[in-house]
Order: sequence, then C-alpha cells, then structure tokens
Amino acid sequence: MILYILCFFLLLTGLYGLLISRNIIKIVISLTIVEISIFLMLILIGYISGGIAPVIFQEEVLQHQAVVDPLPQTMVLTAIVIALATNSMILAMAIRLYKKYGTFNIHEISKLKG
Amino acid sequence: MAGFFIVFSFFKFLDLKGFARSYTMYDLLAKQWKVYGFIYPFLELGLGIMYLTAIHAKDLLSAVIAQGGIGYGLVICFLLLKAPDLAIVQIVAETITIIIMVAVLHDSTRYETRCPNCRRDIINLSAALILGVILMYFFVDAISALPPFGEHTLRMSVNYVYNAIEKTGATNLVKGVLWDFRALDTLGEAAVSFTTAMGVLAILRLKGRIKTD
Repeated sequence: MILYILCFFLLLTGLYGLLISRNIIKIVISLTIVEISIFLMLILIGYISGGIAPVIFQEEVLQHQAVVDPLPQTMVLTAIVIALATNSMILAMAIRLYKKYGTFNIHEISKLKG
Repeated sequence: MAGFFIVFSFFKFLDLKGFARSYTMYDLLAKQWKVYGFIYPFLELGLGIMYLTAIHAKDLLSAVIAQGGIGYGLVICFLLLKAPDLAIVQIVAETITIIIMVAVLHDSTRYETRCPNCRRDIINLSAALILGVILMYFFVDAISALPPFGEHTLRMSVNYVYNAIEKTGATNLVKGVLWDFRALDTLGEAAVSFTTAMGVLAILRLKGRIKTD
C-alpha cells in the first residue's frame, strides 16, 4: 500500500511543479514526472509477487508459474511512445516561442503582444 | 532532484525488509540502531519533498539532468517489476527526450528569469494546494478498491496469457498482445506518432508564409 501512496506523491510532485513553474522547460519536466507516476502506478497494479516476466518459451511453464500481467505493460508501452511524441511537440512549440519572444517565461510571454 | 529522491526511496520501499537487512551490513549507524534501516527510506522521501522547494533550480540544464535521473530510475523500477520490454522502450524514449531538451536549451538560454515577488505565485501555490487536497480525498477513497501490492489477479488478461502462444505464436506475451490481440490500438499509436511528426515539422519549418498587406 505504501508503494501506491508513494506513487501518488510523485504525481503530486509533478502537479505542483506544473502549477508553480513559469518556465516552459520546467513545465515539460513536471509533465514528464506526472506521466512517470502514472506508468509506475499501472505497472505496480499489474505486478504479481513471485511472478515471472511475460516472456515464455515453453507452454508448460504456465501450468506451475505465475506470470506478471502483460496487459498493463502493453498499455504503458503505448503510453510511453505517445508521451515522447507529446513532449517533442511541446518542445518544438517552446523553441518557436523562444525564437519569437526571446524568453521561456510564460508570464513575460503573456505580457508581450505581437 | 525532488523526483530523483522520491524514485530512489521508491526502490527501497519495493523491498523494505530486505533493504533494512542489507543496510545494516554497510551503514555504521544502522549497525548500532536496527530501526534506522527502516527509517532511512522515509528520510530519503522526506528529502525528496524538501527538494521540492528547490524545484526553482536556476540552471535549466541541471533540471533536465535531474529529469534524466528520474527517467533512468524508472527503467530500474521496470526491471524490478518484471517488465523488460518497458525498460528497453523507456531507456530509448528517455534518451531521445533528453537529447531534444538539451538541444532546445543549447539553442536558447540556460538560465531561468523570474520576476521577484509576483502576485501570481500566491495564487498558483494555493491552487496547487487545493488541487492536492482534492486529489488526496479521491485517492484515499479509491485506494481501498485496489488489490494489495503483489496480489493482482489475471482477471482481464487470462485469455491473452493462456492463448498467446497458440494463437499468435509469440513467446513474448507483451508483444503478442501489442501486435496481435490489440493491433488496432497499436495502429492508433502509430497514427499519433505520425501526426506528431507532421506537427513538429510544420512548427519548426524555417520559412513561414509571410503575410503581405
């Protein structure tokens, strides 16, 4: 249970950073922390103690050995790739914003017009 | 840095008893005082939360490096939780993210500018606190519905696990689910990646069309 709570704290860390920081790079980092906490949570729920990794070469193994749930792992695999795509999109926008305004501070960007 | 400490204390929580036992072997304080081995991960967690106040690291490059530390820590977590495929994907994704971030910083500034005593700080902090309290309420509500750690039952994926070798011929169950049972989802993922690549190309296009009027 303490692991779930710790995971939740990681999520709160990310959210705190997301709301507090005014720098675009820091916002991306906070977003990554939130993503990481969600991935960890899903994998933690799918874990079976004493289970083997879901790579099986003989079918007989399944009779007497528990396997870690492969479904959350598949979902997280998809999510990691999508997170990478989102992050690169945000960073591309950040570099464009920097070229235009000369700053990463969103407070200053909202003050500057044009 | 905060996340760094939280992730590393996380490893220790994965096997708290084992850590406490092995920690007495090499730490002088733990040798004298057995409970210290149990307290140490909590101390580290506390440090992580303390470092939160230092989320205002002035150098952005060090922030990016700390984020890399968190990502690679996640790789070790995945390995400990018996998910080797995820570890491989995460290590690649993390490396690419760091390379892109460092490239962005190389093109721009390393240092964070901030306005002194902004009014918005208080609003943001209170918003963060309120959101945290609300989420905490729902989390406490929901955690009783979760199975205890390590006692998950294969309720949804029992069909995938027992039929994967016969139906797909894949010995790696994760890949069997990803490419055969849930191939449509993977198609969606590829579509997202493709769209993002197009979006990044469009955003970073060097010559934009100039409005003439």
